[in-house]
Amino acid sequence: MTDSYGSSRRRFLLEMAVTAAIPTTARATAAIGSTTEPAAGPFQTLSASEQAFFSAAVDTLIPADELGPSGTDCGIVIFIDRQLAGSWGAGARLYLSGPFLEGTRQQGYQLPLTPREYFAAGVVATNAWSRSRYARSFDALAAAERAAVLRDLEQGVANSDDFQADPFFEALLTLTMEGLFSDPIYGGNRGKIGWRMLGFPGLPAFYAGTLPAYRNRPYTADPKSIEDFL
Amino acid sequence: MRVRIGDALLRTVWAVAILFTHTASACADEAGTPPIQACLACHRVGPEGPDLGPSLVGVMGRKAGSLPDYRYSGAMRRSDLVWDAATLSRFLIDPQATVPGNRMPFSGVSAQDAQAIVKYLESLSAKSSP
Amino acid sequence: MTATRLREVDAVVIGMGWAGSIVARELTRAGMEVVGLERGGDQTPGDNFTVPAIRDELRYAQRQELIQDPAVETVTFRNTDSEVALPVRRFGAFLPGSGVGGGGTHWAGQHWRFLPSDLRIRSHLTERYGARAVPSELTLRDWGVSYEELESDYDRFEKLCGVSGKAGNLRGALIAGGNVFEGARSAQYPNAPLRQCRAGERFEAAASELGCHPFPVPASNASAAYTNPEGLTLGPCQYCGFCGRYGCESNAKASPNTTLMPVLRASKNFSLRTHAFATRLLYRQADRRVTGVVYTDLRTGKEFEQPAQIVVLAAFVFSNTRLLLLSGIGRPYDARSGKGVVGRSYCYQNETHLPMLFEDEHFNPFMSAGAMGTAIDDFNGDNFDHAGLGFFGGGFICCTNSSSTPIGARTLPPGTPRWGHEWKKSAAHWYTRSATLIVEGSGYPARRNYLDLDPTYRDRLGLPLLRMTYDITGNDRKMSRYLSDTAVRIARQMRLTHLLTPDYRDGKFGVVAYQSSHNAGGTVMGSDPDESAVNRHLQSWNAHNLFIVGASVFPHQPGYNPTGTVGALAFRAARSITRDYVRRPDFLA
Repeated sequence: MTDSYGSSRRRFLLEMAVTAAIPTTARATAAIGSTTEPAAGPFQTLSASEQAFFSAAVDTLIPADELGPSGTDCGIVIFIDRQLAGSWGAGARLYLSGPFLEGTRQQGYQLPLTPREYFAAGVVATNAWSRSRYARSFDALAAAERAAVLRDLEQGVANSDDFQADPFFEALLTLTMEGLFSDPIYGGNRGKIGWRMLGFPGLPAFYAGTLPAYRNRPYTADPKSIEDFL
Repeated sequence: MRVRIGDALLRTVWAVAILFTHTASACADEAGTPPIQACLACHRVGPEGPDLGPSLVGVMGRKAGSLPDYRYSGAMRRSDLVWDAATLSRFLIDPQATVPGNRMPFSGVSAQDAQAIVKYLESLSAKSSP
Repeated sequence: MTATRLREVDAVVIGMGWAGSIVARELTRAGMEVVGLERGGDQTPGDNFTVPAIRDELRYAQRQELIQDPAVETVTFRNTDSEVALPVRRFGAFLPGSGVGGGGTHWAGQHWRFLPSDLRIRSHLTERYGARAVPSELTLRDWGVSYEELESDYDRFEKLCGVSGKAGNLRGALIAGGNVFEGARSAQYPNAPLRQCRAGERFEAAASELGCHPFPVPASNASAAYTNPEGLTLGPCQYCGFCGRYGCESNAKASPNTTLMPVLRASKNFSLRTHAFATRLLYRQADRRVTGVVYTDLRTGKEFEQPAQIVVLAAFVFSNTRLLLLSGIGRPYDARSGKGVVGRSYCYQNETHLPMLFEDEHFNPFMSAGAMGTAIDDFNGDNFDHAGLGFFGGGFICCTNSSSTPIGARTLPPGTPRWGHEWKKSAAHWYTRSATLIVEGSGYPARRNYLDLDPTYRDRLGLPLLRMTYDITGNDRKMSRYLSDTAVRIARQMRLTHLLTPDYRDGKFGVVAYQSSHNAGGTVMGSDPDESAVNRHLQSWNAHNLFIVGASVFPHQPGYNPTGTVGALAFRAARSITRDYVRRPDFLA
């Protein structure tokens, strides 16, 4: 089978999928303090600059270490792409009728944007902020600079009249955590790495017989996911 | 109208179950209810009943995962088991160990309860008309 | 555009959640021909709630698949009437149910009774503290039905659900280990209590040391297989940890789908119509009756008129109130004057959480049932002396395994970063070491908290949305702070490692973060037609063949989950219909 995505990365990812061991490869240490490779696709909706942005962002939020690989290598960029390409991204289950007025914090999201559009706008705004601070787009920054920009978003330092960055950061963080911990059928949590990190056993979750014996001692199991029960 | 013995047995089981669960002086618990009752939440043992799990009518001697009108998990369909006293007992004690990846939402029963359930299912198979 | 007029039936029930399913079943049992209308889709455990698909936190907890779709209908919200209400574009604070089973499908199963003093709250507080003690801000009213009158209906609903629990007051005899504050019960719970989690054990010890009276949370998660009076069997709870927001795969969580619908579906007298969006009740004011319901089939857009001898409105707080307003039934409430009825006394549960961390424990939080927990009721209702405290009300405090699924698991020591290396280490260390105390505080009504129709925003069919004007009252803030601080004392007595700050209800109420789905009021019950929409039989004062069931009839929200009382009142209303109303179709005394 011909391999068109860079053989060393693909081998690594295939190893991730079949082995239970948490890889402690050179990749893990190399990721710290340097720019990481953007995720291999294919992508259904993310543009090239968005792919690069999300890869850099999730690698900063979820950096590689002994507990697991970087966010990109956990599949989180693929997860984000599929979510934004799907019905949720297109605004399913979102009341999108106008008029659109600026509300109080208590009134929640009031923009006319679908999640797909909202994240696109957030990427553009964050890159603009990054260029204003460091003269480079977010994905071209070093790790420490990327962390600084994300902290700016998180703390509202990057807010402007056009774009409230701190709610965007919250949305980005939530989407990233969903990508790390949702069932692997959605493209993230590759090899159940997020679940292994926490000690969450996943499926099938029938504990009536087990609970008494594990009342006050840790229960561990090789995690299983939806795919294991099809 | 022909009365099937299976129906009468079922009615007795249900009557016993209801008797135990509505005893005024004590709460029902696993020791007080017949072991088969847990199965009746999802499986039917007669012409009527829930369809969350496959029908247990005629289950003894049946190839696992073979009823045409039930959506089994892949694991059950591929399992190559035939249900008899031994295989059923193993499955009831630890479903996931016996058929890994099957989707029966049940963590298992004691060996004693498994024996009681198997006995009941054997009697059902023996007496019900085809 | 004219609606297609259908053949008249005995009764039409709007909403197939707990309230509607109970009434529909009682009416078919009495031989009546019943049509059940449900705006959402059909769902059955065998088709929709099976392993592995149901074990999907993204789909059900994050994307809220079993929750009402705001794009079809939502509410608008503002804190005060000096603001412009804006749409709740994505549900957050509360998650209304949808589809057959409604909220009863995705609830966690906490199954409580209210206190005898709750149902006669105004009289009780006046007797104990004096008429001037209750501030005029709190528009509390007696319910018009006593606990003693409702007791057999509470019992009936608990037997329908196979509730797992331990009585604390059995026919007047107090039993240690049960809730000794509860109103007297005629019978023990139908199922033994659920297993206790390790965190609950520590809570029980600490609460006892402080002089409180802990007991197992009453749970509509079956501790053992149970066959209910309808002949439907619940399976034993598997403690799977995927309870609230999910359907149950082992038929262990009591829901309309498991305890009633199979019998209803098999009944010749019952027709279920899903995707049926009720848009108005047809009201003949001069005759003081409704003649039927107009609804739109959401699959085709076609409109239908369903004539009926009796109409039962069971569509949850928001739709119950909205349909009365859209149909011109009853005088709409006006907050400025305080006059009017429909939309009055909107209340919201004041629930707070204390996340806790224990270095010396592994709680296995993924092993849990929705209502597995240990609680104390010492600080609920008027179970404690309120003299000099500056507030009324209270709530139970319970301990449960915390959010057990990983996306939602967020309990980390104060000051921990929320991302990066430190976050990863911390999350990996503390995930299995966390538990939560929950305070289920009461919500008391105030003149300025109410529901009405929004002037601007509309639903998918073009009808005005319901507007919510609500902020937490001063009384409830003080109550909540007192209860939360009490919970803090218990948490410290548990000798935990880290106690996170409770989410005190000090700021303005907002619709973003999840707090509770327990909304109440809007079509309240009472004995005064100038201040209530329905009488003690849940019969409308304005139309004698209209009955309204659900938490919209609660004149206030006591310090307990509402479902136990929703079901009890539904049985009561159904009996008033089948025993009394059909014999003499008129206003009931």
